[in-house]
Amino acid sequence: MKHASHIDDPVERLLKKNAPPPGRPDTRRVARACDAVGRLPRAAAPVLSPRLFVRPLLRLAAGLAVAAGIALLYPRGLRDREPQPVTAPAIASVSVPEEYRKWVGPDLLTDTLATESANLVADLTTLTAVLNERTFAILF
Amino acid sequence: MLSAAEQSDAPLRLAMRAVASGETEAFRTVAEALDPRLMRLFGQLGVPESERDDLFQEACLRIFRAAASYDSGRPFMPWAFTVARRVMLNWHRARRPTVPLDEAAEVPAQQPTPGACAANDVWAFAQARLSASEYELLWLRYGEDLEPAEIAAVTRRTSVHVRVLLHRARAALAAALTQAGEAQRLNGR
Repeated sequence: MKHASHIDDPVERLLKKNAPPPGRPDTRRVARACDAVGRLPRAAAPVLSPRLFVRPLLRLAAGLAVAAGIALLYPRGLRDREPQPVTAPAIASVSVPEEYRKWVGPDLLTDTLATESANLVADLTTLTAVLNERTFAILF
Repeated sequence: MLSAAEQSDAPLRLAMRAVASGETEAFRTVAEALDPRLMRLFGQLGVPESERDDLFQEACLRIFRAAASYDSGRPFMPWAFTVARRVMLNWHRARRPTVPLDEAAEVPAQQPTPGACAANDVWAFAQARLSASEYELLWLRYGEDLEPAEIAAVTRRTSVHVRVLLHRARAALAAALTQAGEAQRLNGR
């Protein structure tokens, strides 16, 4: 409705071309419908639907519930407590076993990870290309 | 810039806003615009002529009652189609046509013969060959000229789902048309 669509498919062209046009409004039918609408009791006349307010009210209630929950559950002692200074454990003092250092060299690990990473990137690229191709073939 | 469809929709949005604020007389504009579109929709989706007046009236009453919930920032026709479609589905559910088993064999087949597919009869051909939901989607897209997103709102599906279903329906129709063409060619020999 919003954009002029370019139609390449012959089936689409055939369907659009052969769609029967709408007729003219039938005045008697329209009058009957208007009479029926006019006969509706006052209470059934359009009023602002309560459904319009349900969502904002629910959001407000949810927000209040979360705020009240935080206020109730947050312990008072925690609020007043002074923050403790964070100290890191002395990792450098831990000795690395000599054997382990021999067979897990940094070069070996880096090469393996780099290869794995390259493989993953290649696989993802292929997958994305195939997915795009299939999806666009269906959608456009 | 507004499209032609949106410009033609603008008076209806104004009328609906007036109806929502209590001006019952403004509904005549809406009913006049709806009459040809809904009657054509009902006709295409299998409602017999004798029932269409009642369905139109029921749809008008529902649209009038729901006027306050209509957001005039959105296109009117897809919204009206949504209401009318629900009215029609309710009618279909209440009706449930059945044929006794003894007489079932005598009910004529609805499918046209393969050679009967003239280009100007493509909608009848599609109706006979496709499922009701496929036909409905094709009609809303190419008969009523709705966008897939609007059809999604009318039929309560996602936009991508509608696009996929439309693609399948077109493919099924194309295959049926090709098959019918082939059969016609063979019969002509």
